[in-house]
Amino acid sequence: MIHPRNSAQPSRILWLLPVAVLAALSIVATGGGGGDDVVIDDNDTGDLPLNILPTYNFFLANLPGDAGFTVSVGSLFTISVDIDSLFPGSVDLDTDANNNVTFRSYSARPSARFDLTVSSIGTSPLDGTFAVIVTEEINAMVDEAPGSGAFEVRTQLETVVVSILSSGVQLSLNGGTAVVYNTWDEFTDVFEDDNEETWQRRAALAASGFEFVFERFFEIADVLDELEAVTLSNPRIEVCDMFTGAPPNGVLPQGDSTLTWLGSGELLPDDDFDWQFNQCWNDAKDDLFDGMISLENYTETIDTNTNTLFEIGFGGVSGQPGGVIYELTISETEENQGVFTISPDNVVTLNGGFALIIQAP
Amino acid sequence: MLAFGGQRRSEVSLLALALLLLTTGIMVYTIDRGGAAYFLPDWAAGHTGPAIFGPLGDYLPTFVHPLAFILITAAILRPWPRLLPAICAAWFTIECLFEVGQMAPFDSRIAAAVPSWFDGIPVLQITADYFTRGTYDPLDILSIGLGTVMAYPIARIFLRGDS
Repeated sequence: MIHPRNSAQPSRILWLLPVAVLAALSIVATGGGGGDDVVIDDNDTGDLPLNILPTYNFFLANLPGDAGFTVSVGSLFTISVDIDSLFPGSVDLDTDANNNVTFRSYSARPSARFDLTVSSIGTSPLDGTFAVIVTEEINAMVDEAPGSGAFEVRTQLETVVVSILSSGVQLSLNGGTAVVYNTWDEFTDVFEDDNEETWQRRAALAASGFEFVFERFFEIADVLDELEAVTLSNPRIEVCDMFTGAPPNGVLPQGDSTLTWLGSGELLPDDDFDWQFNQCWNDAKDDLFDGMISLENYTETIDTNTNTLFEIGFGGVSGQPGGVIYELTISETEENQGVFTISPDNVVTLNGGFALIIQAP
Repeated sequence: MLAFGGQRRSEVSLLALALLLLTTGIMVYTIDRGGAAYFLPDWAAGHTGPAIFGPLGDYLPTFVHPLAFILITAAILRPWPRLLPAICAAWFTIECLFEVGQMAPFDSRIAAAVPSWFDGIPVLQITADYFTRGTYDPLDILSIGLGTVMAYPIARIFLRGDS
């Protein structure tokens, strides 16, 4: 029996390389083949009104490089926020006839994680790094305390499970007996109580950190639908809330904020904005904003098939340059018999920041 | 040059069939999904003609993609026909990894690991979007599996023609 000569050439195996690359690129380019395709285009679609979906995903990420996000509280301590990979979640929103967006609620997805590093001036039992990991989806209305979900606060030796209930917050250290707080605010106030257990204070700090990050998130998200208008009447100067009563010494009763577009022509991806706060009161909390938020490397992508907003934000999810960068102080007032003051220990200084991307689901 | 005579015919046949299958997949995007694929030109986007694949179109691309690439790989590795099961297993694994990568928490971790230099490079620039926006669907895994299972006897038939 004569067998055909095997003309195999090992070099033909090299053909596998371009085939593999072609396969990978075709999977990515088609969105994977299922009904979940990625169809994006950076081009504007002209004068058609943009469709804005009722729900979007969001992602928070560290700024590229070593620039983190630090929050210093007076001369007491500094907290560094380190987002692990991407911090994912979703937002529900309403859109009016003019495409003005109002955010209604948000959620943080399980596995979302950030690490907090506390450094006190002097020493504090809270000093050190701990992880805050969402274990059950956390849901909250905007500007309200979270209503459901769970997260863990982990150090090398301790795991605190924080369960958000409809009737309060329940804590458990290493699976031990549950400690219950009747309200979210009662729970977060524990952080400042030196008489409470350190693990409870750490959990309260984590909750406050979670709340703080989302306050910053919505400050920025709320101006995204106004940026186009800013480019038409650049800069946009707005008076802030009027302080009710006599403001602390040396502080204006009513300051202003100036949002300046640093581009020209039409609003394009990678454009930057500066948002300057000049003694700007937030009436809802009697907080005083002073300083600058730089909004760098604007991102906007439209799904041209449906003229739907696909993605918007600052910076990118994969280490692209830009993001929301703070050089800002937020001062809390204290009242004593009708006299308002700002204690140096109540001045929160923000530096660094995060990338923020809101993306169609 | 891949091969000669009858062997070359089997390779060409495998490659032609793979090309036909990939073309079918592209037709799903062009016709049924209104040009909904990154690589399609603008004129294909917004196509509003009637869908011709119906509900099958939801999973046809994930079915034909592994099938086609198994056939291509089988053609390239025709001198080593015993590798066919390994080829099928490898493509099934690769396709499944891409699909599972769209599932939380892998999606956000992979997207964060995508190098920033992908930005601005065609196709690569949407890699992070692929994982964060794509939705993991067990039926996609099923269609990948079906494509893989179908590929094996088809490739065997063509390769048997060599002997």
